[in-house]
Amino acid sequence: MSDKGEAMGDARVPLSEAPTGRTLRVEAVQGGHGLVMRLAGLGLTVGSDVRSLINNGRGPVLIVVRHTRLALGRGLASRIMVSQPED
Amino acid sequence: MTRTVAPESNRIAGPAVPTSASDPALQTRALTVALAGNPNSGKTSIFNALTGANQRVGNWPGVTVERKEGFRAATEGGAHRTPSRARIVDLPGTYSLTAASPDERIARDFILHGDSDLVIAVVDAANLERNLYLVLQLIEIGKPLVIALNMVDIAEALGISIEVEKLSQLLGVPVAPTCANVGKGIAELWDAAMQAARDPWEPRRLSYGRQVDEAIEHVRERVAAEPELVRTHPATWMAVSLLCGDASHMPDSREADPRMQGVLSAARSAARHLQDVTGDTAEAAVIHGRYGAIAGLMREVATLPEDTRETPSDRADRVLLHRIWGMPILLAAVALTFHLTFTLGDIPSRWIEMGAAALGDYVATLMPAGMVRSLIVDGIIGGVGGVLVFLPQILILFAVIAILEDSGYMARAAFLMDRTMHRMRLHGKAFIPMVMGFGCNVPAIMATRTLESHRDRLVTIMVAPLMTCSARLPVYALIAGALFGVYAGLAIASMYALGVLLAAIIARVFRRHVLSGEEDPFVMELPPYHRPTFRGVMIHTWERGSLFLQKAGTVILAGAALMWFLSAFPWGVEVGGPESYAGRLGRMTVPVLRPLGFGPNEGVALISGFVAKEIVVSTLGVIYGLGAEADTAALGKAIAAGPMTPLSGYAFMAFVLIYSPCLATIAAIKRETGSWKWALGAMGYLTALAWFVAFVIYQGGRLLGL
Repeated sequence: MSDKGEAMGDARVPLSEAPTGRTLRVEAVQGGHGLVMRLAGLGLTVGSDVRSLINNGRGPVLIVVRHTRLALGRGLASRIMVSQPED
Repeated sequence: MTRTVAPESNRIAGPAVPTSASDPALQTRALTVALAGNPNSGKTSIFNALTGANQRVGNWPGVTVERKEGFRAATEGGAHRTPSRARIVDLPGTYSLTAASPDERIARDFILHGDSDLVIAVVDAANLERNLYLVLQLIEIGKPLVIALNMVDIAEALGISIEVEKLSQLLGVPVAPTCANVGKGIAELWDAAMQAARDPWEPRRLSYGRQVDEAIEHVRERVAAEPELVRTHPATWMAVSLLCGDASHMPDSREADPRMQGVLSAARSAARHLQDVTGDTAEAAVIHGRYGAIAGLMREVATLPEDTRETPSDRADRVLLHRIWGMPILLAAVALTFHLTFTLGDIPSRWIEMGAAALGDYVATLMPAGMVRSLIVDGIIGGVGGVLVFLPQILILFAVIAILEDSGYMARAAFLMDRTMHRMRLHGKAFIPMVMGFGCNVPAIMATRTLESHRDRLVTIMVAPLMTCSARLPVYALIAGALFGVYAGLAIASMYALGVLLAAIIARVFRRHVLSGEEDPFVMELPPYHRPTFRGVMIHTWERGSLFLQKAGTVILAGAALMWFLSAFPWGVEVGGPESYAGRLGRMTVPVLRPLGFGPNEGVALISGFVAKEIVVSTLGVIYGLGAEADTAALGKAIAAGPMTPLSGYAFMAFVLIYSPCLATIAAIKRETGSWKWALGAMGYLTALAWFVAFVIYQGGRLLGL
């Protein structure tokens, strides 16, 4: 996972492909009005910082955003684009 | 608790906002308080603490499936006041008020259109930022609002400190810190609420940034100019909704009205303008504005520890959600659940069985033999007693499920099962209703309310009856015990598996042909683990178990009486014999059921099972002349000696598994889908499927020479 993280730089990758354990920034949510509003209620918005906790390469992804642990289905996680901010 | 006091004229318009005790409306009806908040915010605990009502503490998002109400004295009881009661309505837990799920719609509509005078927003202090998002929407609605800043003890333990006074000042809303699970701060919360209900209320608007504020104000002015709109909707709320492209609150009948069209086009042009200046969609700008306001508040009032620390729950999840160990642990938990259910439940079940038999014998000594005695002893005590036998198992299963839910593990189970459920074309969250279905299908169908998508809900509702509920088990146990000898356990287990397999197939079929469309994305909060309380588990178990008891007391009572009538009349014939009504009905089913290997006796039993499947056993008891409360061993012997073969017996078990769910389940489907179409559809398709599967088993088996 780690070389993937180094390779990504400031490029956007889907959350489903992002490395675990690092702070990531949400760049875009590819979805309609309803999805964007629903994720907003859960704290997952464009510009927010997230960290992927569990990503087994299949099945859902566990992330933490705004102190909340969220399970995201793989399909959904692949539609959330993140980048790794420069430290 | 600082709040700006505004003159009467500044109060928002709308009939449902009487804000003063001198308001005549308040003299004639109870003050109504709506309790809103995120799932897992401890809202149910606050409700319990306020009302003293017996409710449950839950972890599963959307735990408040039914509308719950409680009462509390509305005044502090001063001598100069007439004490009155306030009604407290517990709304479903929601993350926002955009009406994405049925629960959100219920909450939003009650706050907007219900008769609530005041809203108490329950906020998880340990999760303040996310929880404030809902609070901001409540402020947009503009009803008198009080915040219960709950679980301040837990927040403190996590190193979070919150300046309560300052938060109250900045929001313009009274804030009362509480620890509802130990009852701390409840009296102060209630005092603040009563104060807010008495005083005039001026809704405060927080700034979402200049550009968003201007856009909202622009639309708000247009909305406020339409008396018909502001009569039913707060202008600010309406403006924000319209700006975000949600026109669902516009009165339907007025769609063609040029003035409404004017409001809509003003909203559209404001949204376009906002998009031009922010480079973002209007809804994204509003969301950004809300979280921007929240970030400002958080900087002012809260000190948070680093978010990158690993919490105890994270450490537990490393094991419980492990890529290799997670699944075996879940399967072990499910296996243990069923093991406990059937071993522990067996003992009290036998007591109930003996109790019902003893009661029947006792009543029989009190009355002369005849029609009435037969109805009471054979029909009612036998029929209902035969059903109550499952009560211990159902209660134990629901207690274990409640423990799993309240501890937070059930949400992890949904996480682990998401991939498997996805393959079945079901939503990950559908796992919980399906597991519950093994206890009783009625609460299973009600538990589908946590699914956001209507299509996901319908698919889950349509396949949930294929889960072998505890009422079907005694039928399996009877037939398999009579015909399969040492393989009885295997035959029974195969029925559970058959149900799950059929559910997987049927869900795919429904998804492809009936309820097609994009799948609803899976997103769910995983609350921190915590120790379930004994009281919470008991309350939850009882709430679901009582659904089963109600069924025993109503549908099954009536069904048992009806079956008694059919088998005992015309009076004087051999009970359940060929000349009774039941016998005649059974003969009528023969042409349809013969290809499945069933005779007239099985036909009658299956007809009685339309009422409730457990009745199949007591009906067989009556038919085989042993009475409704016949003990299983004797009935098993009678069946083994009868015309049923292992092959037709197995087809019979499959038929009982699949065909039309009991009346209580049908009623639940009607209630939850809102239409008879789905309820009757479930009856029809399941009965046809049952016939088909039983046909394949019986005829296939005969071809193989079984």
